Amino acid sequence: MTNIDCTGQVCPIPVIRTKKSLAAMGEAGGVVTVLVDNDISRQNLQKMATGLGYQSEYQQRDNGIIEVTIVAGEGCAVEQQTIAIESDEDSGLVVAIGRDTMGAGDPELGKILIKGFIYAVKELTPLPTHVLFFNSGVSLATSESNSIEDLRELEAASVVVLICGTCTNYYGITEKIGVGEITNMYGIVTAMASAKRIINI
Amino acid sequence: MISLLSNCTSGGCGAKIGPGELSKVLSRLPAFCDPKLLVGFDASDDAAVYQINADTAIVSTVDFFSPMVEDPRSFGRIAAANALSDVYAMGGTPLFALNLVCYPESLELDALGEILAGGAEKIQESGAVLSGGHSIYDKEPKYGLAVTGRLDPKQIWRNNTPAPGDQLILTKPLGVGIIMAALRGEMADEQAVKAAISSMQRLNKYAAEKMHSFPINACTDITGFGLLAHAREMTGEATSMVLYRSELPYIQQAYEYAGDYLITAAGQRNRNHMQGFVDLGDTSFALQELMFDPQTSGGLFLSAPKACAQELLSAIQEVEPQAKIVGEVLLHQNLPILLR
Amino acid sequence: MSYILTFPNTHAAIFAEKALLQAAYSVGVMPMPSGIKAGCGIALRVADYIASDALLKKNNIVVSAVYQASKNSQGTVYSEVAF
Repeated sequence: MTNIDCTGQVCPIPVIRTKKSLAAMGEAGGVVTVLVDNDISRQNLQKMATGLGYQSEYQQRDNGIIEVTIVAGEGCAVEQQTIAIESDEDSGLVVAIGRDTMGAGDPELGKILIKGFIYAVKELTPLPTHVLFFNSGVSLATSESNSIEDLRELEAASVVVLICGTCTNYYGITEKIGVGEITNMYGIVTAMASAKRIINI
Repeated sequence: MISLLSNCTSGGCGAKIGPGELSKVLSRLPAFCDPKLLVGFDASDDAAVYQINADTAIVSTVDFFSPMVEDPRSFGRIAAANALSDVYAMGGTPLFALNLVCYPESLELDALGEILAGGAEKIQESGAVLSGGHSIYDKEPKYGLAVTGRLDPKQIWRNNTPAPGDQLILTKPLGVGIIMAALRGEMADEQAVKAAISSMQRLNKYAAEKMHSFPINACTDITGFGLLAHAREMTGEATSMVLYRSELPYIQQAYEYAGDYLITAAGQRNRNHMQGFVDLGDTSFALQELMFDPQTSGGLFLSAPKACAQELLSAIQEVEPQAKIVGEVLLHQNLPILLR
Repeated sequence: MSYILTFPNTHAAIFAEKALLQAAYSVGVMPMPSGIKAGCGIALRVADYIASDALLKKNNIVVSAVYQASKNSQGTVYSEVAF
């Protein structure tokens, strides 16, 4: 296992150093842990790892330090990883969010409840296959929403996030959508129809 | 031996504050209303335009950043070319410029002299006059210009008014950000660095002069936000555009370096910002990175009627041989930017 | 956003989120983690608990406790931050 401390260094230096030490491991492969102090460096490292067919994960440490672990070598190719995921039975769960509040009652309460709900969905195992947003629910997927990080994490964990384009258009927030794919009613219907279970909010 | 680069955490337009973060902050400022302000910052255009009378408007812009190259004179030239570019991108002619300087107490003043000499060369070349400036001590060296130019208010090249059916021209090759990243990682070959520096030093003046004989519907210059962010900005609410992947000009080595993951933080920020606005499809990773690559003193990106696009391109190619027709403007589609 | 703020009641949590958002602090919402006892059902995640707490104090909003989340092999562990 190789440890590289890239705190205080800016891209492309962390990527170059990591790539060099991965290359030095040769065919046998191994594990490289990299410390970086900003999320963009983390994203660039994972982009490189994925591109080279390595598994990677990261953990937030204290003081804004992020530890990225990259596993290189036999049995770690991303292709094999995908096969493994596909053979795992998926949850078949679709979460449909058609409003920006949760439940009937005081909208102030409903607004904070739905954010907590989205966080809790992110903690589910297994994760849903799809999270759908339509009508006023689409506002939760804008870059101004403070649920955006949770949704991005869901998306990064291969959950398909679909946003109703008609709705973002109606509310004039298409430009502000910060996660997922814009889709139409067919996309939404297809996702619902292929679900084993649906949570409707 | 002084080192400009070692004093900097990041240089060039790659150090710009991300477009998303920036618009968050700007949106909280009050909106100023003056009918004479023809283009203000709410339009996120390249420069401000203020009308003086029926035939004259002034165009005003400011730009500075920290060094992205080791040679102080080259840095001066690049920073000045970059600052002057905003005036050209609006369709204006620079009149005068003021120096903006931040410089560490600990560095030799000779290098600062070189930086200013490089900048002065470019101001001279633009036909403008250097008329003053302001300098302060700072941990990281920074240099740039505040430029004032003249413009015909009836012929402003705005950045978001293309017409469906237009074709799009990019005047300079992409990839200077990636090459400078490779240089930081000491992995760039000399020729690539030369090509990048020469591209960054080149004034957009010559391409703009050619454009003045043609109808131009929209124009901007490519900055640290990268090609795709500027393309999206240009589409506005009313149009979409398709970019021809095979036609995008880039510096050859940049493609290889991107494939080797010699990538920048700004490029990744640009990628994050563009999520949901473009479907990258099966675009190769290297080409994706080039489209997100932060450009320092990048080329002009313009939209002109298809009927004259080819003739305009030929004219521009006399001064910018790598210019290409890189796409076309469509009626509004489900995504602002499509790739073909 | 590795710190978690808990509140005596849901109203306080709602006001706190609003105040933090208004001041453009990074803040996220989460249901109260099961490992935490003190507070109401809604907790807030913040990046900078010292600045957040100061802002909330200014707005007369009381924070019950601050926790720091860390992951181990058993899952996420929450430890109270004394301040």
